Amino acid sequence: MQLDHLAVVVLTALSTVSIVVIAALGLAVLMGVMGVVNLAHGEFLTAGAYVALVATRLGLPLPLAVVAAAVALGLWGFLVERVIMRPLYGRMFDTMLATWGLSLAMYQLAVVIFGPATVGIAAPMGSVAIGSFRFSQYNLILIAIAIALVALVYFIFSRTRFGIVAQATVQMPEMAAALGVDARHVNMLTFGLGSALAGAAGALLAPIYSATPAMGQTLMAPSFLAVVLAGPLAATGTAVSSLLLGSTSSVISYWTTTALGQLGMLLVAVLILRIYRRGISVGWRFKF
Amino acid sequence: MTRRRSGAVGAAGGGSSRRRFLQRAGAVALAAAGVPAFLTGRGRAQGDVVVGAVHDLTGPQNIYGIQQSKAARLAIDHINAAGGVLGRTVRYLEYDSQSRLEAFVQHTTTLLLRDRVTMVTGALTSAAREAMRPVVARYRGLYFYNPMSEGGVCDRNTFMTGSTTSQQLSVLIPWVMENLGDTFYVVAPDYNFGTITATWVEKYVGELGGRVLGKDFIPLSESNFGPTIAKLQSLQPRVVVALPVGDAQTGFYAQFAAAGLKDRMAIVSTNYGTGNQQLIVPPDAGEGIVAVATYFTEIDSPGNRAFVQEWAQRYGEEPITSDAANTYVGLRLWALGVNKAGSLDRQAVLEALEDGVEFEAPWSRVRLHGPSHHAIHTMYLARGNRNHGFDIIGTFPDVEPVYEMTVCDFEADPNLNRHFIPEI
Repeated sequence: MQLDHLAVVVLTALSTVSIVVIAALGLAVLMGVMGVVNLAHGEFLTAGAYVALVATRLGLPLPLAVVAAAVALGLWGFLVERVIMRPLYGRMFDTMLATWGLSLAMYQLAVVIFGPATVGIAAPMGSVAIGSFRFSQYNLILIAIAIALVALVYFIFSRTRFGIVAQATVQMPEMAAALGVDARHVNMLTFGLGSALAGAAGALLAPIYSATPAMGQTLMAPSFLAVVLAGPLAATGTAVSSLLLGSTSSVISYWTTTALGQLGMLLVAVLILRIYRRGISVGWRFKF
Repeated sequence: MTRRRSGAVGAAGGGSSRRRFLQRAGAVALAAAGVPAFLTGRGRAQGDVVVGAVHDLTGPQNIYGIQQSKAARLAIDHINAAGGVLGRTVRYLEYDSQSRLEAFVQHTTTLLLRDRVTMVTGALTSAAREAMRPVVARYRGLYFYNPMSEGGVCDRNTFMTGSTTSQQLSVLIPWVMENLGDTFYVVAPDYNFGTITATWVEKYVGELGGRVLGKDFIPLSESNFGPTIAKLQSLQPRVVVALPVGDAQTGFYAQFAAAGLKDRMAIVSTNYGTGNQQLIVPPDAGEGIVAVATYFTEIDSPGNRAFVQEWAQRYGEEPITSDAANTYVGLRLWALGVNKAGSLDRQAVLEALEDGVEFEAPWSRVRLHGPSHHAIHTMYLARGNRNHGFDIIGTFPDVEPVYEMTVCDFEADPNLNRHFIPEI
């Protein structure tokens, strides 16, 4: 195999990994910090894509549209936390049911507002030449963004006061309260952060996926798989689990067909979960 | 006139406690399903002829289903404006499948057993159609499947009024070989439509002396085409036959363009545009894609302009998909068949349709080929432009579904019931 060929295969795999990381991170934060399974995560992604769609139509460049999507979904996260999640903390199945209902409502809302087919966002850049191959610049940037997002989430939850308090609030609510922490406030911020990550992800992926009501649903399966496989550490765990899942599916897809690639990814997930029942990051020395 | 069958829930007469139990159980089930009482049994009103439909009005396939539903309603209104069937008004009764296969089975059963419709139509994917067909066969219904399909379905209860893959490719591949190149790669969804279409591409390309360098089958839920795009670059075909289906796979076109492959290889498709993908796909990505179908909104004829205008007045301005146009045609063909039969009797309608009917659609003539239950269409070749639309670049009148006409002949064998799959 030529060097350029190999480089493209590796970059293709990393690009698949970056998409899984970007899509999964918001879900991972909510699960890792708060223990909340947000079944509406897919629709949060879709909503982010639509916010970006509207923003670019209003003339905003894509980076600002991504920020707009993060802010909008962050605010939406505050609202959802306050109205739907707060009465249900500690009741895992009830939160799942509630967020599932929310996902159905948000999905249909997208159909009602935007219709089944809307004019999409164009991928903003061209391609780069790698030997005789070409590779999408936008996918290269997504790889960089995925790394940056993981680093950002790791930093927030291991180095900032907010992050440490947020983890403490969930692990030892009474102790945190005794030290003067308002748990409701912290939970709202964490939920908002997770939602903002989902919003940004939807906006980032909109140019290479199609912004349709079901966009988020297709990203939901790999996101969930990555988060479950990751285990307790939301940032580092998700990064590594995405690396395993994404590169497996990408390389098998490349050598055989995409259908077998997906099958291979699922088999690897099953295999790993047989060995690491609570996820791969159990016992790691990273802080998040 | 409503046909009654013994064994049907709520059938006439009877006093056995079992039947009463069934009726009550049915009523309870309906109440539990949240169906208001005024909606039940509405298919049995005297006087009207009821046509039933199951379409994907919500869920991921609704990018196709909503337009099918609109087209069906328009067709019913036009049929009624032209005097209905047998002098009676036609009524349309529709259920939402929510893009779930099991809902097609459930609603088709309801339409045939409870609502007692004279004809059912609906389904978009061939998987959904294959879910409906056994139900139609079991309760001896009549079924019109109107979208384009992989072809080869030979079932006396079913009329396949849309174009078939081989019908479309018989126009597309020769044109491509002459104008774009002779090495191919097929990117197809991983279910019967995709695999059968890929086989047909190999067959036509092989017959004309070209080569298929490879095929990739994509699960319907997959939306990352990175590995496929890497493969395309290492094999370097001149032409990519792209057949993405559904929301998830639509991203292929944008990803292909973003990787800078548009000036290296051409994209052709038998289903691009059937879900109005030309709207979703960015202008750079959509430009130049060659599609073949029985209908494009851009067809420039007085009849079609009027049709498009009426659609816009009624539903708002939007491109009309070929599956919607075919749904319109399918229902009009059915009405012609019933009027020709002079009766709603299933056998009489079947024989009238098999004798051949033709409908002068606003854009072109469509002839139902009786012995094969398939249709002879005018095919249009179109190229995607930068304005989220198409330019028509070729018109091919009276294209026959040659394969289906060869393998499926109910005149020779009325009991034929097979899904023919091409062999190479």
